[in-house]
Amino acid sequence: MPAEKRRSVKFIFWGLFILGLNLFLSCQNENCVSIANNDLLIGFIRADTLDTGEIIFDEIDTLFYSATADGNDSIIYDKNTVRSTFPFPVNPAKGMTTFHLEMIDSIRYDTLSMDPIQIDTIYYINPTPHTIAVSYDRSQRIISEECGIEIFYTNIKVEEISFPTTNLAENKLSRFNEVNIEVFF
Amino acid sequence: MKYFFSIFLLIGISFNLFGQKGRYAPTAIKLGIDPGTLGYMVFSEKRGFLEFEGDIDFDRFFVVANYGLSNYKLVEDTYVYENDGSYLRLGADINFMNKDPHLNVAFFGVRYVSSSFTDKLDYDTQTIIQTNTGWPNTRESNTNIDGKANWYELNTGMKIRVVKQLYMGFTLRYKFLMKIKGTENLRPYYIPGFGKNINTTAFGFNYYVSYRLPFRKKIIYTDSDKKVIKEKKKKAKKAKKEKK
Repeated sequence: MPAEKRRSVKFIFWGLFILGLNLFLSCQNENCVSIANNDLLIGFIRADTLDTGEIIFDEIDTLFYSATADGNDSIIYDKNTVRSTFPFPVNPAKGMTTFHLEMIDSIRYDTLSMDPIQIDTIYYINPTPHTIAVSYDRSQRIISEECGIEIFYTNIKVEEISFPTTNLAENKLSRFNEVNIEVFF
Repeated sequence: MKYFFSIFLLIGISFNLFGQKGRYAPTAIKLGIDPGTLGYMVFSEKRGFLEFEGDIDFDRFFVVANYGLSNYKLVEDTYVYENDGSYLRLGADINFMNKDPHLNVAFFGVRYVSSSFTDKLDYDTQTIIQTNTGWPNTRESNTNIDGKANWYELNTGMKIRVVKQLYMGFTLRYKFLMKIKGTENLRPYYIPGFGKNINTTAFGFNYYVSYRLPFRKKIIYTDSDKKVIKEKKKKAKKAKKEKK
C-alpha cells in the first residue's frame, strides 16, 4: 500500500475512533424526573337531587376524627384537616393496605364563658368506623444512580370498602392523578 | 447454553462452507477480544464484562459473532442493584476495503442481538426521590430471574493490521428496537450488551484486538484482475462457439 494511502487509513481510523468514543460517552446523561408516588387519592362526593329531578355531584369537605392504616402507628389525618380529596399513603413494603376512618357526623360549639371568651368544641363521631382496603402491584425502577429508585403502584383493586357507593376512577398512582377512588354519600 | 448451541451451529455451517471453492469461499477466521473489557474487570467496581469476537472471511463479506459475559453492580446509600448475564450478537459485515493487500477492513454491518440476565434490587422504601412515604423505612427486595432482551444494531468500524496476522480495530454500534421480556415487576437498569436501559436506542463502542487464522490464500480481486477474468471468460466463450 502506498505511504500516502496508509496515512489516510490511519487518519480515518483514529478520526472515527475518537468520534465513536465521544458519541458513546455523550449518550450517558440521564434526567432526574419521577411521576410516581404512593398517595391513593380518595375523593368524597355528595349526590343531590334537584327539584327538576336532575342529580348533581359535588365534592364535599370531609372531616375525620382519625384516619389510620394497619401496620402504621401514626395518625394519617385528624380533626384538624378538612378537605374533599385526601391522599392516603399506601404501604410501600406490602401489596395491600387497609385504612380505618373515623368520621365526624357533627360538631357542637358550647360557649363556656363570655369574658374571657371560652368555647368548648364537641365532636360527634359516627359509631361505625369505615374501612377501605386496597391491593396493588408494585414495580421498581432506578431513575439514575444519583436520583435513586422510584416505585410504581398499578393495578389497584378495592378489596374491601364499607361505604355503600364507590367508584374506582384511576387504578394507578401518579403525581398527576386527580382522584383514584370516589366515595359517594 | 442456547448461545453455545448457536455458536457451534455457526461453526458447523462455516466448516461445511470451507469445502467450497471460488471467489466467495471462506479464507480465514478472525478471533478477537475487547481488551477494554479486561480493563473494566480489573479497575471498575461497578461494571465487569468480557467480550469475544469471531468472524469468517468470505471475500468482501464477513459472518460475525460476538459473545459477551457481563456483570454490573451499583451500591448506593438507599439501594443496591446487581445484574449478571450474557449476550450473543450474530450478523454480517460488508468490507469497503476488500482490495487492500494488507487485508485491512473498513466495514458496515448489521447484527441481531439476544441478551439474557438475572438482576436484583435491594432498596429502601424511603427513596432519595421520595423521602416521606408516610410509612417507616424498610429494606425490600425484588428480582428478575429470567430477564431477556433483544435488539438490532447497525455497526461500522475498522480493523487495521498491526503486525503479521494481528489486527486492531473498533466497532461503533447504533442499537435500536430493544425489547425486554420477563421483567414485569423490576425494570432492569442495565442490560448486558446494550448498556443502561434508559431508551430503546443506544450507542455502543468496542475496541478489539484480533488474530487472523488463514486456511486458504485470499485472492484480492483488483479492477485489473476483474478485467483479466472478464477477458478470459470472453475468450472461453469464443473458443466454445468456434468449437461448435
